[in-house]
Amino acid sequence: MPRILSRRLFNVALPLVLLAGTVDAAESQRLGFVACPVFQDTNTVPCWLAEYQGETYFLGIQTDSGGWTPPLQGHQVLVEGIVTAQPRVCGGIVLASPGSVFDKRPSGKSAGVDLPQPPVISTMRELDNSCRTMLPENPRYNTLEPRRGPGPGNAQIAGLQQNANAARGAPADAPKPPFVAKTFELHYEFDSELAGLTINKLQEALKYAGDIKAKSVEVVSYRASVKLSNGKQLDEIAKIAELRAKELANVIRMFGLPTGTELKVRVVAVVQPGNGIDDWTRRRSDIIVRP
Amino acid sequence: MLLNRGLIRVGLQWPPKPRNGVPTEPEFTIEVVRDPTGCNTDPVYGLNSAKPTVSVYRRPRIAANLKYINYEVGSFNAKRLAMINDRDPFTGKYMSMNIMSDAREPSLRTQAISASHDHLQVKDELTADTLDRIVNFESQIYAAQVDSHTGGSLVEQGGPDGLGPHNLEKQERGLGDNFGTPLFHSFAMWNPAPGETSGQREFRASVARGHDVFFKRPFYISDTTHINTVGMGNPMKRTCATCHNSNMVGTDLSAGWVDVGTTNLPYARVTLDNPWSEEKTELPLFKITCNADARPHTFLGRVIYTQDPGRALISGRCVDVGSIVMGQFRGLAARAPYFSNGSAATLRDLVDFYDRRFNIGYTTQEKEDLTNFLSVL
Ligand code: HEC
Repeated sequence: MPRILSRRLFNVALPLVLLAGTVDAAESQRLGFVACPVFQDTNTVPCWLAEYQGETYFLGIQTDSGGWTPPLQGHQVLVEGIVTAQPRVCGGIVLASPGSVFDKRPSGKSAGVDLPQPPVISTMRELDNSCRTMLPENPRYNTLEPRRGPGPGNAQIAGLQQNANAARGAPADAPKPPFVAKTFELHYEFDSELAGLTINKLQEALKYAGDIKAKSVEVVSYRASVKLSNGKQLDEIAKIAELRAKELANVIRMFGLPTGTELKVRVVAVVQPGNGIDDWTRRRSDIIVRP
Repeated sequence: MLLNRGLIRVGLQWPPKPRNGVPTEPEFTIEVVRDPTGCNTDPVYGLNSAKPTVSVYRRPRIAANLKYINYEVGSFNAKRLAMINDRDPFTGKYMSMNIMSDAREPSLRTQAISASHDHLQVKDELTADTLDRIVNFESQIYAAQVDSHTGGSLVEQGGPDGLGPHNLEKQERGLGDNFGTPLFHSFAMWNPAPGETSGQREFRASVARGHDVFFKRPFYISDTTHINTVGMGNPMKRTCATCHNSNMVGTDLSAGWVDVGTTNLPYARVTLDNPWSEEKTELPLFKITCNADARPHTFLGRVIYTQDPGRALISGRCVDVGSIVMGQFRGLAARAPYFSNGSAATLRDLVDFYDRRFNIGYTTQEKEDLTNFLSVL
């Protein structure tokens, strides 16, 4: 497909899917499934694929830490994505993000077309060593122009890293009274208590608590379910809300709260049912900072 | 053990001490499967004694080039389990967590205090003045290889500025997994250098090729906790410099504990006892069983056999079992054996470990070049 045409197709198709009026139309474009991830090498970085009902789907390419979280061999993967009309990549139908908080810059291009934000990926908690398919480089799939190649990066700046916090930019001005209660949301992979990609929200919450000398900081952790495309509800493990709350409370204690700020913890152990549309948003902890 | 592998016993209390003032609840139980030295099963010093202690055996680390190893960082280390970095209680600063095999001490000062208690068993606390002097002394030491039998002087005028102690003193910490800022800089000036003998010429050319193998030769890095699991996928196609990325020293710029397989089975080196050999198992073997609620070790699951649980003895976490902090790449030729448990007798053994571990398929030439490169640092 000519480059220009395919890019236009993509630009038109994605908003259409996102704006689709009826739940039916939206659902038909959404996919939620659990499968073994497949590693497909190329002449640059590897592609990640997964098979569902006899069809191959493209999830994303290897990036760098801080990008999306590609699957891990040795584990099944839960995929929550939207089918795009983009040309196949590495032989797979291209899935895109259902609007997750994990969105970042495109990880690269395939045949000149920007790769979309990858679907939401959860590495399943337990080992499954039947998931070990590695496919060697195949010239047909050598279409990738990754942002980060399979070796050292291209940044020219020395001392680039300094520290993670400095890199986040200058601190915002301290809030001014009257102070309001604010809620900060942290999201998780399925069955995970580690908010690896959204822990910066906790940092924001604690900064706010310090700035306003908060009366209380409340952690509220949830347990969710995913409605898979085959109609089944897949629940998170029974203890997950408790584990999330405990994990966050410990991090907050280590960080330290302003004197006089009370730490409260609430566990919502009842499963939040999935709808097959935005289930990833319910795998969550809220941090409520009250003046 | 000291003579064969350069190992020293480290006794760590179990369960672990609180971290940053918060109690550590272990996620697993430990059983002693094999205990050649008898320390772990000892009624007074062992795991089931009145003061439960796990004894592991580790190489001492070099106390030099420390500005590259021990430094202030931000509070959160999102890369590692969405966790918070340890603070130095004396300054309140969050620290890099890269000193010692298990990062149990946040700063040189706290390290000096605990070493005076544990290793030296001093009766009185070190005074503030003594501590200042220890920290100041170690902070001004720079160490690196200065001479190679075959390669000649490594500190010649106009030579590679990734070599020699003076360059370590002059330069600063930074991320070196970049074409713009390669961590061991460049060996281009050895191409050839004036006045070289042909033996030097050949060796230096091999070092330069070895540098490229280290920096640019990709392989499938697989099943390593805290590298594959930090958003890169398993396996990932990258190079030695992905893990060993810190300017001039080759540690990891962020908290550097990784389970690369040096202490966990099935990758760790083991001596199989047998009736026909004098060589006997030297290291202890532990069986780790993760609690039902715990997040299991990402690649080994809920039951792990290990010679040294590493970071997990400090964090109490299952996923940390066998994770060891990377040691710096300086003065390597002078201090065999390698890895925290001394399991690689020579630099060539170390290269062979990686070749097997990641099925790299190095040629004999590549192995030799990589070994020569490591030997001049
Ligand atoms: C997945 C991350 C990873 C990769 C890739 C990796 N290493 Fe390491 N390396 C480690 C860890 C972790 C240690 C510390 C292990 C120990 O001491 O038990 C280490 C230690 C070392 C040491 C220090 C030994 C010592 O005793 O001080 C050297 C030298 C080394 N590696 C060389 C290499 C070379 C050469 C390559 C490429 C073939 C490589 N490493 C690839 C993680 C990695």
